[in-house]
Amino acid sequence: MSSIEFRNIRKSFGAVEALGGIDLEIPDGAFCVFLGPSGCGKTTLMRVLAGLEMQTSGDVVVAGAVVNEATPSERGVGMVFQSYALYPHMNVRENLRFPLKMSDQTKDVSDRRIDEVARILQVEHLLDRRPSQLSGGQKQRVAIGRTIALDRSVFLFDEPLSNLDADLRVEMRLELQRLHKRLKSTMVYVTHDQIEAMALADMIVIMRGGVIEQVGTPDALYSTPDNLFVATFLGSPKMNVLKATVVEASGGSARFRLSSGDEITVRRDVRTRAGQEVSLCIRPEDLSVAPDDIALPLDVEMTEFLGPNGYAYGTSGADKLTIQLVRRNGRFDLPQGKVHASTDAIHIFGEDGTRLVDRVHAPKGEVA
Amino acid sequence: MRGSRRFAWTLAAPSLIGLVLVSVVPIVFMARTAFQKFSPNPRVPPRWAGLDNFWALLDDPQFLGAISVTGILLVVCLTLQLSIGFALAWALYHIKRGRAVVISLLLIPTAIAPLIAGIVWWMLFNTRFGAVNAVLGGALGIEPIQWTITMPYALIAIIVATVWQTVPFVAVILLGGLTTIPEEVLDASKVDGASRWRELRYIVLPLLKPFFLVSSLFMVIDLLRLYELPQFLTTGGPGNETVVTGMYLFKLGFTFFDLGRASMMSLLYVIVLTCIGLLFVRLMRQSTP
Amino acid sequence: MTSISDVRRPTGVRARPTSFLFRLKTCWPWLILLPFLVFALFPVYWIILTAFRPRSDIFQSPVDLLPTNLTLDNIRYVWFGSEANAPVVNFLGTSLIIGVVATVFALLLGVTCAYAVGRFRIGGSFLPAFILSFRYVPPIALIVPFWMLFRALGLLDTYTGLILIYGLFSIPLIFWLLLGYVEAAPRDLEEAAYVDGASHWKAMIHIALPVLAPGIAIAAVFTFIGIWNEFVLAYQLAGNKVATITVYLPRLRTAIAELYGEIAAASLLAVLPGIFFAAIMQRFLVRGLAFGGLK
Repeated sequence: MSSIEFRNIRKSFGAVEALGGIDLEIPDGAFCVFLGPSGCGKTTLMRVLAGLEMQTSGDVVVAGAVVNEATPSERGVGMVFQSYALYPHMNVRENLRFPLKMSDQTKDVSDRRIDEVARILQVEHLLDRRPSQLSGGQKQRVAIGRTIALDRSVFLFDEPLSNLDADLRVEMRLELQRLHKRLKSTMVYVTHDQIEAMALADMIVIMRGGVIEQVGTPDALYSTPDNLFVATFLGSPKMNVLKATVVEASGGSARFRLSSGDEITVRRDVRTRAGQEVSLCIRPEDLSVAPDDIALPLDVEMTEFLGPNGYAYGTSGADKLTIQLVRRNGRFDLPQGKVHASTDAIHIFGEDGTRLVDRVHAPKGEVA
Repeated sequence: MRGSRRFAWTLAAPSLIGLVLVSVVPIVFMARTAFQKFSPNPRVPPRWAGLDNFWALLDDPQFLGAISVTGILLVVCLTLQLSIGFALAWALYHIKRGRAVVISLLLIPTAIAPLIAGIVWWMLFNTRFGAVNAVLGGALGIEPIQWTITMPYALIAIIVATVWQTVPFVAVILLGGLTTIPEEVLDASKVDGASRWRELRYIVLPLLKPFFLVSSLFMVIDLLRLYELPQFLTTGGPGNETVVTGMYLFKLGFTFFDLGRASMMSLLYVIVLTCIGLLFVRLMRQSTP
Repeated sequence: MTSISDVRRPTGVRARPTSFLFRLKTCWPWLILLPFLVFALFPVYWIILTAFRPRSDIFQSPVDLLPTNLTLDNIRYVWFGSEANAPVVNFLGTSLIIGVVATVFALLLGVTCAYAVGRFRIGGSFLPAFILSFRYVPPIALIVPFWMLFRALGLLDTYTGLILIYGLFSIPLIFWLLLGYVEAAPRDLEEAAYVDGASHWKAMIHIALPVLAPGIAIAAVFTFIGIWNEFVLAYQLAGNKVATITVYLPRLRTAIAELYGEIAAASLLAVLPGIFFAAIMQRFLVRGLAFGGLK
């Protein structure tokens, strides 16, 4: 069992608080992604987990044991670094051997293990080369190889794909998924790229400013963001945000005045009252040209036709609005002044960013 | 751009001419006088003497003595310089606040003229009035040692003073080397299970090899041309037992006025130093991947 | 085939000692640095103290960490001179003149040479190595022929002689220090100047040199201190009419009485420039040494 638990972890560097009270549980075998903008604390949290940084307060628990003062290898943690961190003065074989040597394996066992790892990662032909003679992708593989050489409980990845070209990135993403299936260990992955996060994760931890904004499966986070930040962070093109004022809210419906002056009614129970400022959010793919519950004005400025779909960019009053275009009978439906959305597709967030209306068809948000 | 090469050579020419003048000319001159025999009487012209000066040196017990003293100093000092220097560099590498201040303070001994270092340590090592004996006597109850006039204490005194003046320089070079090691590589070694000592032995020291070579080169050259410090600390005493090669060269040329043998010794000096320089260059080329 | 279960697991979590030992582990660098700092600075501290202590005190208790009985006698002795020696100011002045002039001379030649080689790559890879190789031949190895040559040329005991030889010998060091800076500075600025019609000279003087200023400053400091502290050449090739501070100091030792205080006072004056520059230049030193360290 190699589950992970963070109990009220705080970390300060002098006067700067990098992590403020992190509580998190990561189940055994999960692929967990720490996602967020730079400076949000995701790398710091990973380093605290690894044992490379000492937290200011709080406990780190790995496989049921508190590991606060244990070294990284004592915690059973392996790590792949953003710069790969291969030992420049050793060839690939010696790089792979190093962790085995450090835990005093016999030469026989080490040699066989090195060959096995080299085979798994397809670097057998590189064993006698030095890191300076390897390409980025090859260094990546060797770095992963070095990490899996020993039997570890937890594998950490610090933005491993950010230094690779686009196609290599896609290829390595698949490799990592295969690795996870094969090893079945807990993996923690740090990135600022939401596409990587959505593709790889069983659970995503979105962080900002040293705190956790939301935890959940990619789908749950995408469909049911808890707050405005999460809603706008995930999704490309970004979630549309319309500023509105509450005209009235009671019973099972609420009425809003948009910046364009139009008023719309949302037939849901919205936790707000008249006079409040809110953000009405809809994803570009949830808007349609065809009529639906709610109508929004749209002045189209630009359109992009990208093959299978397209986008129309414009303004709705004072706010920007983007709608995804779909083909009907082979041709794109262009909006004419108004676009529509169903009630269920609308997210409403208050002034402080918190969610004000619950979803009717909430997808499974629990982590297995 | 047009005329670039002419411009560049014009700029470089004065320096090159000057360097040739100041190095090659004396060397050539010296190469001639090394094979001549000079008489103390300046009116008598020098005679050609072939390799006589060379054999005379090899037969000269003072010359051989100077070489062995210098050899001992070389080995002992270099070992101390590299090991203490590395310890200091490693310690400096692990502190953040105050590093700049500590380096400034540590470098003060290196900014002092070797002559002054020699005289100051001469005063400190004085048998009756020196601070060293005062501290040893007061703190450890040791009887006053006659530092500058007994062996092996005279040699120890020179070693102490030399190390005092040169170690910070080595430390700074090695610290610079440590900063070239990417932090993630050290993190990776921790994650791979290396203890502090193993991290040092398998990762840090191998990666520092070029820097050890550079510092060794500087230190060896400086040790070979040691003159002011031992001259003013022990004046070669007791007797001739702490005469280093630099001091003997001086004696030959300006005390005994045997310019022939002094030139021969200078010639040997130049040859040895050049060979050492070439050796180090080759070692450096090999160790940088 | 080896399965991963054959590989022994690294040891699990052991019981860990309390935080106190943990804290001790983090301050170990100071346990190394402080003793050496004391060792390095004690002689300096001793010089400063001894320079201001009366003669009787010095010989009664050589080590008095916080003496209360202080005097300016030693400073007065060296400052105003005695029957044996001229005032120390003369020697400081001589050192200053020679140091400054020789440094400027060396900079003029060395910086331009480094610029020529570093920018325009003349002489292939042979020339830089050739110039750098001159560092391996120290003055002391050549003192004998130099003395003979100087005697023949009438340069013994002259300002010109010392300035010439100090200046030329400093060129390799300046070249070594500046080469890194020249190669690191981008060519764009000078090329823009060429496009604007500047000649090589103008581009160098107005564009390149200001950019190289920090490197030139470091080279100037190193060169000046090296000349200031030099003894062998100053003593052997001069020493009577032209006497530097380093030549002066040993004279205080041949007097009848033990002039510890006075020597300390004179030494203090002689080491001030070095300490001053070491203190403010340390930032550049660390970077600059690592910079040129691998060439």
